[in-house]
Amino acid sequence: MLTNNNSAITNYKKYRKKRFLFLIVAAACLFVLIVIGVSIGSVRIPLSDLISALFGDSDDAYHQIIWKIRMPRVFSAAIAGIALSVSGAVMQSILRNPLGSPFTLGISGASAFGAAFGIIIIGAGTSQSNAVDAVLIDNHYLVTASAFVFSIAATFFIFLIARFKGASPETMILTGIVLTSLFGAGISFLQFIADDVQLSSIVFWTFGDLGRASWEEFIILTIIVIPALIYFLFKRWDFNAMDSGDELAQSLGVNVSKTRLTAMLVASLCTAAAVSFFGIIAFVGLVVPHIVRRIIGGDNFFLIPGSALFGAVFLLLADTVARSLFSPMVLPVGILTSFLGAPLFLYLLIKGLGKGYW
Amino acid sequence: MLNINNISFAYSKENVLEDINLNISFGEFVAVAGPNGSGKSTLIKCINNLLKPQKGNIELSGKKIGNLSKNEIASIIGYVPQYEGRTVPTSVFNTVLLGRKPHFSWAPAKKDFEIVEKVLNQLDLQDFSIRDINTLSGGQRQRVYIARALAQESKILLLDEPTANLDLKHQLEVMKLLKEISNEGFTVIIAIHDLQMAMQFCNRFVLLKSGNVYADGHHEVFTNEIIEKLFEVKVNIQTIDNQKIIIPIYKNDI
Repeated sequence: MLTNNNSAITNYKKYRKKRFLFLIVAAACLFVLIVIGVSIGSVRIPLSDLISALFGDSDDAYHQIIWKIRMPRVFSAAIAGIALSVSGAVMQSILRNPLGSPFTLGISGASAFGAAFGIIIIGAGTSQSNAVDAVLIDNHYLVTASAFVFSIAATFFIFLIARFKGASPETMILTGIVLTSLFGAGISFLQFIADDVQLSSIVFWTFGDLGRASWEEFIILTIIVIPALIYFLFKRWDFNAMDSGDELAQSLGVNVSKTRLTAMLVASLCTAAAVSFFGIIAFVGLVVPHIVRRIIGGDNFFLIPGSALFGAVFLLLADTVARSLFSPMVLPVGILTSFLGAPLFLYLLIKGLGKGYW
Repeated sequence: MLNINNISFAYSKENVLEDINLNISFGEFVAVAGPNGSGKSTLIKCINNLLKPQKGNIELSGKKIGNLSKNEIASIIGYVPQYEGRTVPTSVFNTVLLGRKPHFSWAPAKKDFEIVEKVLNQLDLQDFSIRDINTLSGGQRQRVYIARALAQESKILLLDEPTANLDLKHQLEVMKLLKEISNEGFTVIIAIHDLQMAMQFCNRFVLLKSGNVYADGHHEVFTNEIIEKLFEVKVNIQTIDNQKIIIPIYKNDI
């Protein structure tokens, strides 16, 4: 019997299959990287010992290293990667702007200021020199809380402006840029009045570092990120419509300003949590969605899970490299993300994958 | 039947539309024309409830559009904006599938895919179905956007200057397509600058001047007097092969 193999539906199904394949490959990479991430470090745990140590005697040194140090860090890297890159993907969609990311909206600036504020004004951070970690912050929670409060405040400020002046993408991005420079000035001022130790605390905080991860951070972040991810996936067709412009989305029944504001709040919350816990991890939120979009296109059905998986893979890879490159010295992952990501992105840009787009 | 009852709209203080009354039947192919700033796009957007008139109302088969939900409006009225700009990379199939959005909540169903396929075939776009929309020519892209509005299965199509930015051949193709759509019983309303193109395909003409309906009717609205007063230029209207030709003449004083 003859079937029409070239029908549009058949082609579309093939097209979708390829994208599902991308998701499966990314998920497999993530799994492999988690295993590698748990096994390597200053103490190398052979793969053969991994499983027995995982479920074995809790007094075992391997068991301690895996459960107390490696796993929180590895899982935190994955969930932070998801938080940052999914927020970026959604922001770029709802703001229809390639520069859109919670960072452009002033979140990182605000939380860095919040951390500096916590260290100097609240006095949470007297730092000490230490051979491995250069700086210790006395009251880690206070600094984190301060960073979080300021980034949420920035988000609400943009929310209010958008509420009263209209939620146009341009308004929101410009407000974000203004806030970034305002907080930048605030940080400079705090750095100026800080003593040497405080200054190094501030600078050290701004290096994104997953070394601060424990199970608590992982759990809190997961509680925020998973519902956000579900919300974003639920709204994927609304975002698809908004990619084509506000008026068109409205004509397709989308409540554009409400969706934009809600998605912005949710994405900002994810980023604010990740940044407050781990400091500023540059590049992931902005560029991971661009890389994924260039590979599999802009349909949010694939872009959102694709960015989540790729973001997790990317941050985990960066952190694993950061831990093993100059072992036993551990680099802050925030430095590695740009070093790894920029060449990859430039390669895709020059190769012209996803041509005719941003 | 679409009834526009006495609507006025203002962006700030000054009315862009003033007391517009129009009754449009199914199957009409309406050209809304007039000088820049006369309110063409605003009228189109008011019909779609993208803009909400401060005065008056719009009724669709007796139901006030202001009382309908966004999805209900979307399943009655399809809209093709003037300029969609560069979009994120996405396939033609996906773009047209977007037109089914008002009809599904979580995910498109088999029926939605079938409708998209039917529309793609109808508009001769089946070979492009998985091409990235950014790689198509302007004319093809406009066809995709029209396909998206058709997939919406709405009885009324609004298009804001569908032929702007297209070359002559593609302008003709798009207008012919719209005429065929209206012949199938759809109401097609377009804002258009090109009077000649409008005259050739549309069967009703609404000419706006400063937010008022200056003339409304069939080809008889195209007289020297009306066009000269409307656009404030001198014109010479000739009939060649049973078709009116408008020749604008540049003069400083009329």
